[in-house]
Amino acid sequence: MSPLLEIRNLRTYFRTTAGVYRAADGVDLSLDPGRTLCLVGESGSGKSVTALSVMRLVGVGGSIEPGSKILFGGRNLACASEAEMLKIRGHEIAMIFQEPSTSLDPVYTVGYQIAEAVRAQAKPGQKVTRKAALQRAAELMRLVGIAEPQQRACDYPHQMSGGMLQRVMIAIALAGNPRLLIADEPTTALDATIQAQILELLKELQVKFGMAILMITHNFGVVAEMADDVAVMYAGRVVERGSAASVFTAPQHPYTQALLRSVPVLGMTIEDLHAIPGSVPSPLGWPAGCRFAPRCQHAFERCRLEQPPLTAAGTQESACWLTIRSLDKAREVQH
Amino acid sequence: MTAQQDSTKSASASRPLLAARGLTVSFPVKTGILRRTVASLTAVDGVDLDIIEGETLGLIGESGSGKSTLGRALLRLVEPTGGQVILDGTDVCALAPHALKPVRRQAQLIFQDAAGSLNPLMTVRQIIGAGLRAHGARDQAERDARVAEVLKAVGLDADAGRRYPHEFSGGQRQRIGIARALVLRPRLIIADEPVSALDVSIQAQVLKLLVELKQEFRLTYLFIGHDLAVVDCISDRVAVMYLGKIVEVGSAAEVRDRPQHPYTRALLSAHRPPALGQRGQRVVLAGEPPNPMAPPSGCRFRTRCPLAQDICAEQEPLLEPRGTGHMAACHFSHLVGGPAEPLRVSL
Repeated sequence: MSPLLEIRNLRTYFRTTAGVYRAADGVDLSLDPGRTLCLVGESGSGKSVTALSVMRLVGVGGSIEPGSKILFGGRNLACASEAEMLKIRGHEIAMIFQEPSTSLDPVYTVGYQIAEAVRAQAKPGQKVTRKAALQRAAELMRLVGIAEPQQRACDYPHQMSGGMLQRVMIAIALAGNPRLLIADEPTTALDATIQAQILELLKELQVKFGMAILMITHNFGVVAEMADDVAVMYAGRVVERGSAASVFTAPQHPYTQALLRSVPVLGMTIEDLHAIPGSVPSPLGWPAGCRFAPRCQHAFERCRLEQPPLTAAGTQESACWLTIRSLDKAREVQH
Repeated sequence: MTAQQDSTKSASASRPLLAARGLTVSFPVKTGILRRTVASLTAVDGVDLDIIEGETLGLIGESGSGKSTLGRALLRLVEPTGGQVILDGTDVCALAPHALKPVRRQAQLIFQDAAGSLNPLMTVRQIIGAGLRAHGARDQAERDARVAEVLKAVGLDADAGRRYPHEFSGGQRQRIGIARALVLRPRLIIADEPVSALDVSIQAQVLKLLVELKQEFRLTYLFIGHDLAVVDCISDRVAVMYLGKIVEVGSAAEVRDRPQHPYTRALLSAHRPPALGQRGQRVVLAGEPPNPMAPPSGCRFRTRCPLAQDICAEQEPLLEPRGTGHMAACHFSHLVGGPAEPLRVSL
């Protein structure tokens, strides 16, 4: 199966007065049709910028550097024209965000805003009347689990709760029947019990619509719940990727290992928790060599000099000299 | 302290450092040009809570459950509309405003948004020293010495005192917030979501620091949070709040392994994702929290509760003992079941 989305060496830089901010700096990942890839990382690791780069929404001051490849359906989105992107956004790739309340217009009803998306996403040459669009909006609202959609369609965003607004955002995203849904921390702002509802909904809709989901999160609970595949990001790069099962049960990269041990799981005591020393480096000046080396307890000389490439390790890939060294040793023994 | 007191302190049932009785906080809801009061919102409704000296009590609830308001009302940072707060024998609610100072010296707050709670125009030394100054430490050199001492205790360089809050990362700013709370040598610290805004790798650092400081300075914590796993790992006891009421309280292990309230059970389920490959096996709670201005009659959870019967609408369940030191407010506690088994009534 050929991947639906493949990103190779994506570099998205922001030129600021303080210097060049290398938010995404050599991201590699791939997502198969109908599957869910969770992009995990701390704030500042470049996961949101990666998602925005796919949509080509990096904004003023940001640029996708030459040589970056974002392959989607046979095209390289990194150098697609704005006209081409208009055909892709919403129709083929849709996105939902962390804060639904700031993504919706406060002066229009939610029904109007969904209907607007329905009309914008209509096939070329196909005219959708206002009335038909409103009808479709109500249908979509029912689909995302909003009770009494005809009435709720007349609500303004401030009249709805956070969970309901996220459902509205999902309805808007579904209006174009996309092949890929990018969800940037869709449940972070929601309460635990509401978060569970939204995740269930996304899983249900994924099957119904046959979409692939690129989910950005820092929450391992969400990853365990949703992911088929996982890519772990640190300091602008993917440091480990593979199936969720393998990354969870046998993490290869020291950062993944440390991160998994620093997240409290129910029933853990404070002694079971391992803190990662230091803090995330600044995108204005990544450390030389492996970017995790200054915080890594296994770091050796080569780690501080050369950047490790993603290398097959076990059933996943990891970017770590330690793994590469042990693989080399194993090979020597064989010869 | 007498020997007798000392022995009771080491026993499991120690005296509370802080006790709330029937604590209620209502806010008027105003509307129109004339700002007429049209309704009232009861954020905290008749809460009884004991914080025992030396323990960490976790307080967990969703947004809007009233957990932060409760934390603030305990120090009278919001004025309670009813009930009592007794801190070490003194009724805090009965004190005149000027008499509150000594009380506040004993109990300090740490906030979620460290950046927003530090004055950007003041150096770290001024921020931390402000409390000392307000409480009468006139001598600059003495203040600076105390500031340096707490900076060291929270793991910051002495040099940090000369810098401004924006020069620090999120985790370091939270350390400054902790230092500010510590400098007055309080006995009780109310930590309101202290790690929620931090990255996962930094969260563990700050949690470990809080535990170290607790031992070093013999502190008592009220740890407010919404992440059950975080609250569970740091707390000795856990109290669960829903719509202004405590619905369950007990030792962390009891609440985690033998929840007696269906809401706690649902929270546990939301936090305990199924093992990989078992997607979609968990309990998802239907609906959303009801409007706090018009809470449901009887049990407030009944509109979302899978176990609800007629009695739940008629009679409000009281917080009653369910095993050692474990209390829950539910008519059907015996049907709740352990976190691993499926709920007996389908959702």
